[in-house]
Amino acid sequence: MLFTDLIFVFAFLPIVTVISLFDRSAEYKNLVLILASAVFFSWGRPALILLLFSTAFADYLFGLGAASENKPLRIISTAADLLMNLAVFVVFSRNWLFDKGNIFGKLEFLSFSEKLIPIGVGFYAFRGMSYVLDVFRKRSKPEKNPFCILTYMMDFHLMFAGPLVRYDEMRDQLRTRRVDWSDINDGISRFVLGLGKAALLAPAFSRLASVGMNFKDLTAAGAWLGIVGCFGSLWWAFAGYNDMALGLGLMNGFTYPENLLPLRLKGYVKGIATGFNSTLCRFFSQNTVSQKNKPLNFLTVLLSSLLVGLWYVSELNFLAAAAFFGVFIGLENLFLKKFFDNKPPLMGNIYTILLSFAGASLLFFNSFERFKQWLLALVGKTSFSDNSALFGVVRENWVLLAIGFVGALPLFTDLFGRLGKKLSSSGAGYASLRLVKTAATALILCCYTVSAYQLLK
Amino acid sequence: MNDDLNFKLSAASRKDRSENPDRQEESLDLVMSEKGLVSAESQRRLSSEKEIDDIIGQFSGMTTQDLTEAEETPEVEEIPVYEELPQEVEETPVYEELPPVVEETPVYEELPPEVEEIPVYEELPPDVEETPEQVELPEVEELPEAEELPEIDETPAEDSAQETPSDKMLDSLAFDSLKGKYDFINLSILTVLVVFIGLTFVFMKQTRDENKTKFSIKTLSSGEYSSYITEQYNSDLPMEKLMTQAEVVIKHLFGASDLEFVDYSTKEPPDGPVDDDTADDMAIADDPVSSETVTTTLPETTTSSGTTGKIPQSFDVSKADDPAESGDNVFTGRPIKTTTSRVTTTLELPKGTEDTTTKEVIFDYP
Repeated sequence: MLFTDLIFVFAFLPIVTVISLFDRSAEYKNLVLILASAVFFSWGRPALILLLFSTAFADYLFGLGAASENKPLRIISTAADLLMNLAVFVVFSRNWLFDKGNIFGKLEFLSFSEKLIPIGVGFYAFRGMSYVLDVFRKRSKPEKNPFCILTYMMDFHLMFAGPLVRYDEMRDQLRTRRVDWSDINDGISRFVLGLGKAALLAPAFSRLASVGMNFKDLTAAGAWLGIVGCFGSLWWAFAGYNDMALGLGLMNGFTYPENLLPLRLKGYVKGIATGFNSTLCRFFSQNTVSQKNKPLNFLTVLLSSLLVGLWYVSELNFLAAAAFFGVFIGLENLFLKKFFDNKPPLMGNIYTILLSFAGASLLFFNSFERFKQWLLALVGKTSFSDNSALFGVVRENWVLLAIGFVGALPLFTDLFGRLGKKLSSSGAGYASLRLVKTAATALILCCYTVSAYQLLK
Repeated sequence: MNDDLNFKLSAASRKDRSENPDRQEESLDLVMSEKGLVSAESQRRLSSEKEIDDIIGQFSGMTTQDLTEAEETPEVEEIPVYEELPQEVEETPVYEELPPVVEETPVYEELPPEVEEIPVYEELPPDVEETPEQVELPEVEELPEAEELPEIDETPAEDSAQETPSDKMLDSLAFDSLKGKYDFINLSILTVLVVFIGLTFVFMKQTRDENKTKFSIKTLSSGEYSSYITEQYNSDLPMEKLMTQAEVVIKHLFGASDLEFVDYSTKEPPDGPVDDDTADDMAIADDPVSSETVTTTLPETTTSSGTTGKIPQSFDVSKADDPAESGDNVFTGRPIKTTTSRVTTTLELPKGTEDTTTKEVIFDYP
C-alpha cells in the first residue's frame, strides 16, 4: 500500500483517523498508531511485521545498554545495535546485492522477492540507529517505556520519504499530545497538497523527462527540458511524500521537522545539497563530521556525503554526485564561503546554480557516455532536431509544468508569500484567500482521484 | 477612705458613662471589672490612697490632679439603681387563618365597535409651476490667486500609529476567530469530499465474485487476503465512463489535449515511494519502455482488388531496440521518424476480394 493509492486515501486513512479520535489520551493514540502501522506494513505482504517488532524491541534494549555507566557495556550495546540495523538495511533495502553475480552473490539464500521486503526499511533502520547513537553520545536520555519506543519505530507516517525524526523530537509528543480540529484541518490540507505534488506534478515532469532525455534522438531542447523534467519529478515526488508525512503526523498530533527546505541561493551549494533531505544529512553530519581542524573537517564532510549517497542508492552515479557535492561543501567550509561572502551576490548565485545543476545532473545518467552525450546536446552538438514529441508533451501538460516550475523557485514562492500576507491584513482579504485555498485543495483532491482511477483502469 | 474611694469611683464612673451612654445602667462594680481593674471588694483592701488614685486614673484616663479636682466638686449624684427588667419572652404570634383569595374575573363592558372615520381633506389648490424669475447675477470679480498652502505631512503621527497592547490583543483574537471559522469550513468541505468519494467507491462498486479468497489466518499472514481486498477494491471501482469523461476535462485543464480526436490511454508506471528502495527508478533508463495502444479510424484506401473499403486498424506501438528507419507512412503520407518503434498490424481485407487471408504488415510508426 502506498500513500497515493486510492484504498489508502479513501479507506485506510479515514478509518484510522476516526478510530484515533475516539479517545484523547496519548496512550490510546499510540496503540492505534502501532496497530495501523502493523496493518500498513503487512498489507499485501507476509507477516514480516514480526521482524519489525523484534528489531524495535532490540533497539529498546540496546538503548538502555548504551546509557549504562559501564563503559564496555555502552560500547558493546551501541556497536551491536549499529550492526543489527545495518544488516537489516543491507539485507532488505539492498537485497539486489545478494542476487547471483553481485557483490554478495555467494549469500544467494538471502535474496528475497520484492514481496517479502517491508516498505521503508531504510528510514526504519536509521531511526533505530539514530536513537541508540544519540543515547550513546548523551544527546538523549534512554527511554524506559518500550511502548514509546515501539510507537516511534513503527510510525508508518515516516516510512516513505522521512523525515528522519530523532527520538528527542518526539519524546514529549509520545506522552502528551492533543489533536484539535485545527490540527486535523492543517493535516488534511497538507496531505492533499502532498498528493497533488506526488500524483499530479511529479508525473508531468516525469513525462517531460522521459521524452526529453531519450538518447535515441536527443535534441538540444530535449536535453534542456529533459533535465528540467528530471529535477522536477524528483523534487516534486519527494516534496509530495514529505507533505503527506507531515500531514499524517498533524492529524495524529505529531509535529515533525521539515525535511525538504526551500531552494535558497544564500546557502551556496551546501544549502542546496543539504536542504533536500535535511534530517538525513543532519544525522550523518552530526555523527561523522569533525570540527577539530580544517583538513579533518574536509575529509569527514566528504565521508558524510558518500554515506548519504550510499544510503540513497548504492550505484556509481549516486556516489559520484555525492562525492561532487561533498568536495564543494568541504571547500566552502574551508574558504569558498568566505570568498563569495566578500564578493557581489551575483557571483555567488551563478556559482551555486551552475554547480548544483552539474552535480544533480549526475544522478540521472547511468554511464559516463550518456552524461557526455547530454553535455554535448546542451550546447547544440547533436544530430537530431525533431522536437514534435517533446513539444506535444509540453503542450499537453503546460499548466502543471508551469505550476511546478513556479512553485519550486524561491523567487515566486516569496512573491506569493508576500502577496498572501498583504491580503491577510484585512478580514475580507483573508477570507477570500482562504476560500481560494479551500477550492484549490478540493480541486487537487478531485484531480488526484480521477488520475489515480485512470491509472488503475 | 471608703467614702473618698467611692467618690472617686463615682466620678470616674460618671466620666465613663458620659463617654459611653449605653452603659449608664451598669453598676460600678461591673464597669470596674470590665476595665480590668480590681473588684469592688478588693479595692477596699487597698491601703494607700495613691494606689487607688492610680487605679482610678487607669480606669478613667484621669490623672491624679483631675481626681483631686473632682473631689472638690460639691455636688454628689446618687447612682441610680435600676430594677432588673423582666426577661422578654418572645411569644410566637398566632395568626388567624385568612380567608382564601378569590380572584374575580373582571367584567368589562362591551366597547362600541370602532368606526373608522374617513378623513376628509380639503382640496389643495392645483400646483402652479412658477417660472423662476431670472435674476441677474452680479459680475464676479476675479478672485485673487490662492496662496500656496504649506505641504501637509500625510504620515500619521507616531502616537496615533502605535497600537496599544490591548489593540494588538483584540486584533489577534479577531484574527484567531476568523482563522478558526475558515479552518472549519475547509475541514468540512474536505471531509465531506473524502467520505463521499470513499462511500461511493464502496457502496456503488461493481461486484465480481471471481477467485474469491477466504479469510483465514493463513491467508492473512501470507498477505494473500489483503492483496485480494486491494484487487477487489481497484477492479470494482464504479463510474468508469464518468471518470473517463472527467479525465478528458482535467487533461484540458492541465494543457491542450487532442483527446477529442484521438482516444488513447497511456499506461504509465505507477508512482512509487521516493526512498532508497526505488530512488533509482527516478533515473532515466537507457531504453525507457512504454506501450501505447492507438485506435484510429483511417481514411478509405484501395485494396488489391480495386474495391474500396475502410480498414479499421489497431496497432500496438512498443519501443524496441532497433534503430530508427525512415520511410513514408502509407496511410497518412507523413514522413516517419521514429526512435524505437515497431508496429505490427493485421490487415483484414474486405470480403469479395480474391485473397481473403489476413496479412501481417510490419512498418515503423512515429
